[in-house]
Amino acid sequence: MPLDLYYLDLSPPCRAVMLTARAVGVDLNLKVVNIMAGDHRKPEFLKVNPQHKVPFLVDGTVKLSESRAICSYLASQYGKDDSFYPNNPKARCIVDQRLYFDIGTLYQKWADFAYPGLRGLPVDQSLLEGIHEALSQFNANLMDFPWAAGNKITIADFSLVATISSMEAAGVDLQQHPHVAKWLRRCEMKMVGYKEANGDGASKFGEFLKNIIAPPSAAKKEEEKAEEKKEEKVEEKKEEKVEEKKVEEKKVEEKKVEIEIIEKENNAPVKKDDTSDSSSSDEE
Amino acid sequence: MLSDGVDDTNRLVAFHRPALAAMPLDLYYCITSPFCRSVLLTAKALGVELNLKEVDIWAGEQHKPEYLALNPEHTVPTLVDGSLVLWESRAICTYLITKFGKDDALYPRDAVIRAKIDSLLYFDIATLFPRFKTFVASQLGGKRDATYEEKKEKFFEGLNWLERFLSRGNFAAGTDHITVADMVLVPSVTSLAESGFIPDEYTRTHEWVRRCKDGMVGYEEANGEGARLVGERIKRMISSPA
Repeated sequence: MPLDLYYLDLSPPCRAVMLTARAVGVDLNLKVVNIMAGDHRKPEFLKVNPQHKVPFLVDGTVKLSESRAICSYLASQYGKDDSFYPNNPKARCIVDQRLYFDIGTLYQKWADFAYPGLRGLPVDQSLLEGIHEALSQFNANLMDFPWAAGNKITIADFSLVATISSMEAAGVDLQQHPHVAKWLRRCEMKMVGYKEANGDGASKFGEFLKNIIAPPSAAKKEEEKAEEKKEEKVEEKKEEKVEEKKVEEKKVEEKKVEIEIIEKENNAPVKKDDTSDSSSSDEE
Repeated sequence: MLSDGVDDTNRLVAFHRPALAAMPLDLYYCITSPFCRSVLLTAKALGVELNLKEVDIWAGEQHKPEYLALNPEHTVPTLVDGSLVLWESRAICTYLITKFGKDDALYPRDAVIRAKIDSLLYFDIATLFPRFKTFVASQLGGKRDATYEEKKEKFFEGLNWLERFLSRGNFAAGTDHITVADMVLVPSVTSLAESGFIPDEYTRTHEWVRRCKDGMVGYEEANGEGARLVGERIKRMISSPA
């Protein structure tokens, strides 16, 4: 009996589950929950998942949320071997570390950056720096191994590719992370059912997000710069006028003082036989 | 060859089978961090000896070159087990259990129970704790910013979900015994509680915390003290102007 997956193709966590299901050969009965239209908060879906989130898996009496928990469940329950999620503790802990890195760091930073834009709120371009820092961490992981957690594809790759393919489709430049870019191409080629399970959804999501998260255009920047310069010039002129007035006022004051001095001199008494007066001997 | 007992520094010596490494593992940690306390609780439950190395994250020690050479993501906790250097606390907890556990009680191998536990570990990292952090950030120094009401709503939504999860059994994953889900959740939840963020009416949450306190080995040392310390710090952060 196929398992029910409540999902939306735009959602990266949903696509991680779909990639895993394809990899282990599990049939999914896909049930669309249109989050963009608010379907996840309607009574019918709240009955299914009171946390109103996708993906949500129903496998008989087993009901699961959290995409990465669903991925590990599918791999453990239905995988013909443990290659997608190794049992050996030392190998498994690396897969787990990558999964937590995705949810807690990389995908979190992406959501903080891009998703406010979906709600019509301003997008903070400075948050891109944190995303690139996280991508460079992952880039370093990929220097010695072809896949996220070593030499074989694991559920860590399914989780991370859903995130990173969405970023790339939305315009994040991966050129500065060459190992990540190569790994992404590798995923596209090697992952079973990649296009249907992830590629198409990532492209769609990317198109949707591209304009929302793009920095202001070059032309608009020039316009804004010119406006700023204009305003600066107006301010400068104002300041010049104030200075001019000050200079004028100073001149007037100086003139007044001059006049006072002259008037004082004109009124001073004339000095005759005053040998003790040094000023008369100075005047000679 | 190690045996149980107390060595001269008064620490419990680990239960190690001779086949396994006798070297203690290094754990770089900060006691206020709930993520570090999860690992401490797990190690106590397993009887695994940890060589504790403090990293004062409030003073930015995680950014020092020596630490970055070990963990370029500059997070705590970080575990060193021989050639393995591992971070992400929940991955460390499950690693310790699968490597050193004498049975699978803390992290049952049954795929369904394990999936329930995993869901809760992800709930902790991506929902419960982040919503608490951003809620605190919206009210620093006694001032509520423009996002306060929204963050408050999201925080209590997360708390309501936790309260519902805890109605399924004695412990977080609906089990009658402690699992790693409890080891991971109780440090976060007690950080919230000690900061004054869990009203009394969340009775299931408070009762479950009490059960964990009573049932977890070395609870006070591994979690109790650290939760109180961070609670005091957070109370200061949200009451006094900077």
